[in-house]
Amino acid sequence: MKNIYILLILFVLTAVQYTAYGQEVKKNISEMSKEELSTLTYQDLMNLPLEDLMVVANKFGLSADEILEYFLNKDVTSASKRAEKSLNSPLSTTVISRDEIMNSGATSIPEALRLVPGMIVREKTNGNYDVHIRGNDNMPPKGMFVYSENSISLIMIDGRPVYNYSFGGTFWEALPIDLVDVERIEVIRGPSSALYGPNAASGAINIITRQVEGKKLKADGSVQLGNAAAKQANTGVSLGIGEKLKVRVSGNYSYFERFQKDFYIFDYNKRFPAEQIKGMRLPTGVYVEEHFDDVFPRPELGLEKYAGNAFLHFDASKNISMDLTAGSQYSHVISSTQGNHAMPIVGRESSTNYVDFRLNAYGFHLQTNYMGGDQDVQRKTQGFHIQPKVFNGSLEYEKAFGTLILRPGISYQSSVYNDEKWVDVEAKGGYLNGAKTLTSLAYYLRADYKTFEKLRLIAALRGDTYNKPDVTKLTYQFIASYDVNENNVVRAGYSRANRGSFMADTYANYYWQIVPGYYTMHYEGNQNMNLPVIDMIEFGYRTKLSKKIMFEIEAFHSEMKDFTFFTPDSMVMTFDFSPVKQGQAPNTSPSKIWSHGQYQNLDLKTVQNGITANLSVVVNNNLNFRIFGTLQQTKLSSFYDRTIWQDFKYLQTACAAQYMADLMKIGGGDYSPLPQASNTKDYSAGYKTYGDSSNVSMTHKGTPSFYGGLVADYNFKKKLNFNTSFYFYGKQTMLHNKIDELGQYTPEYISNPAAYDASDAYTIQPKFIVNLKISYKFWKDNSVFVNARNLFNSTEKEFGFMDEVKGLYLAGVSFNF
Amino acid sequence: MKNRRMIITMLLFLFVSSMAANAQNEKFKALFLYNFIKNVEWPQAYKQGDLIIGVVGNTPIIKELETITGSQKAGNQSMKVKVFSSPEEISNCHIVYIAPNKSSLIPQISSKLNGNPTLIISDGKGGVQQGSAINFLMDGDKLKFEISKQHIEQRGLKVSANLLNLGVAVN
Repeated sequence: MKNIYILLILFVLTAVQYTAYGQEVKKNISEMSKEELSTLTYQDLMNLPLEDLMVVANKFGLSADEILEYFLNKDVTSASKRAEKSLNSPLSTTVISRDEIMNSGATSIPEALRLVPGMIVREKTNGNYDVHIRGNDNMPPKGMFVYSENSISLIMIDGRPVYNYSFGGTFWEALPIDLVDVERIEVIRGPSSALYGPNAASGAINIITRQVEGKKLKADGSVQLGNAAAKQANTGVSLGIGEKLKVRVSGNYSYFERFQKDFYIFDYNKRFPAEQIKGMRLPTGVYVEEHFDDVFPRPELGLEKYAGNAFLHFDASKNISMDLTAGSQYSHVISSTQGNHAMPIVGRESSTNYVDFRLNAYGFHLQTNYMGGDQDVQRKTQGFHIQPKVFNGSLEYEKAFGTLILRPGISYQSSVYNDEKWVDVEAKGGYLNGAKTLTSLAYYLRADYKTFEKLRLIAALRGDTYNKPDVTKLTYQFIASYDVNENNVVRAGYSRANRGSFMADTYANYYWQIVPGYYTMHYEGNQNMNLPVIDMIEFGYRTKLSKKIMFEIEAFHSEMKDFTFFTPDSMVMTFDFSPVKQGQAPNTSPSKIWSHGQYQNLDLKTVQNGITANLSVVVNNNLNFRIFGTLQQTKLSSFYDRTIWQDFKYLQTACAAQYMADLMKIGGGDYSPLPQASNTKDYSAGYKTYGDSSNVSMTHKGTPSFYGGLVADYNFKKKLNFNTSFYFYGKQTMLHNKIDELGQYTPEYISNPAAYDASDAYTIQPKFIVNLKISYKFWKDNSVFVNARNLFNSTEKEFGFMDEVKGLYLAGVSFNF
Repeated sequence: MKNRRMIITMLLFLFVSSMAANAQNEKFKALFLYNFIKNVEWPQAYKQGDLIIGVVGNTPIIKELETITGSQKAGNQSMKVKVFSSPEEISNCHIVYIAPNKSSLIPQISSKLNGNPTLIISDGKGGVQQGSAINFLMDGDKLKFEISKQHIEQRGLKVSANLLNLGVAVN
């Protein structure tokens, strides 16, 4: 079947060669960007008039060889904080350029990451993605959805962290910028806290925004429409004022509807239409969603977002330049929940603003930024509405002493999250119940030394002093890279990184009314936990097999420990003895339940071994492709193989058993257990009473053992562009804390729980996603396009309990003038 | 910021692989040279047969010129590259390019070709003063060329105003 698809693609490609016709685009060379110039062929160069040739040769310092260099061996800054060729990057890095992203037809930044080796990208609901670097995802297993969020990768926009400190992770939809603003995306695989600070544990992603070139007023953007009510519009306008000031203003809008508009309920292991869920209660009396219309005002919504940004760049002098960026965004999505609810999805709404200032002067690099706003992490759900205020400041200085380059720096981060506007602080009605602060102050030094021409040694050290927990954590990176010759580089590295702390696991102090007035859970954070830490050893090899072929392979071994996890530890059940006292039948259920759980470090350790390879080939000036894949295995040891629900059930049973024992005594004529002063009696049970289950070793099935992709880009006469990309991952099992109770209220489960199989709900089948974008330049750089995401409409869901992901077929116009 | 990055990249480029960078400059010199041909007019008698580009010295530009002459024409004329190791061997050329390491031969070649409609192109400081018509020079990282209207016309060649404008005039 798949062969047919491939044949079909080849057929389309071939057919177009015969049908397409076009005239060469005449464009003023001096107005072309470096990317555009890089598309010129040698034939074009020979046909250029001398004045244009001089512009190409001089203004941009571009040589014909650099056209190949541009595709195969891009500049990468994030891996060592200085521009260098990908071939020489000391870390496992990949850079994807604006052109690659635009040609691919990706509709968002997270989707574009499917073009990068080592990335696991799954779509949860239309427009909403889960993005992981290498793995350690769904970790620890059998937890809440929050543990499936990627809290161990640091995402930055121009070096500004956009981490979500409430529960850890990244709200991709709440990034203010979109693809229209992106110059390139640099991905570092592997621990890199020593370079970027906390949370760059599995890697870092730096999204670099566009720089204005030239003085002319320019506008670009695109509009596309498709099925699932998809609408997307992006535009940017730029201008140079004098020689020194460059200004760009941009805006983006996206709207996608869900592919499935009904709602899954764990306890029935089934989806229900919105209308049916309103007012629905579980057999326990708990509402599935009491305020359905508030939580889901638009049940069909996948994603809606809009944002505006302004970018100012000022070259004060040869040695001084500065950037000022500010923006504002609004987003509303329906995606996976953070906590435990009857349904796996919730609404999430963000409205934030930011300002970022960067100054480069005489080797100093200063960056300072602020983000503030309003985030309803689980829309209209008690306790989840917060106001974040995040400040980052850093100062670095770079100085070279011969072949030794030193880069010392200092960094301060502060995040203040406040929920008092929306919760009853006295009743501990929220996680935070007021403003809570997390800070870290870091000193760091990076030394990069080249010796004997070919050997490069890099050491980076960073000490972060946190307020919570009150510790200083040292992270480091030691790398040796050796240029065998100018086309072959081998490298080895050892690094340690850690995740920082975040609000919920540090400060939570929430009296969660599971059943108001009856069942309360005290959900508590812990300010004295060890921060999760990852150690990695890695070997890499890059080779330029010819001018047109580059091959990279990296083998990694990582060990991670000190995961934090919410664990139930005690319960008090109150039973009413008044019926007994009155000689009637005893109550069979408690009159009140109070339980307590707290974040703890787990004994769990994970060990991941893997290999990522990438082959880039420029077949000719019109055709290039890239193929990449990762093979990995993750082993868990000392895994605590129980869900919080199992723990709570244990505690319930332990309390109830004491009550039963008392009733037995009373029934036997011993009235001593009867409460005297009041009619009620409390029975309590503690966590440690049933021993330790933290001894399970197993292979982690949450990360696919293989994932990768292929991108092929074909350009016909510079008018017609074909881009086809495949993304593939193997089978996975999403271990969520509800998996043992799925469908527990269905007749099938009740009649034979052991035979009930709900694995379809959490098993992710292998998926092969084919994307195709065909664009045609009808005038200058203005084009019309058709864009198919998931061309063959493979409908398997990509994330446990989420929506099926279907084909998205778009058509649109992109403009550039 | 990006400009700085670009400068750093270019510096690295220059230091680390100065050899490779040179080869890339040769590519552009060859493309420039091809453009000179388009902007210079030879006497009628020289508009037939092959257009001969002579190169004095062993230089990477030969390979680049061969790439161009293999696929392009000058008007109706095919182009050919001839390599000479000494001034004595030079004969019947439309153009003579003198490699930088052969710059000392410019006066000798110039006098040998007196009266011939040959465009002499040199590559190094002071080339025009020694007798060439066009001379490549690097201005920082930019490739430029000096041009002498007088040296071109005294050999019976005509040059377009455009070419004169693009070059640095030297007399």
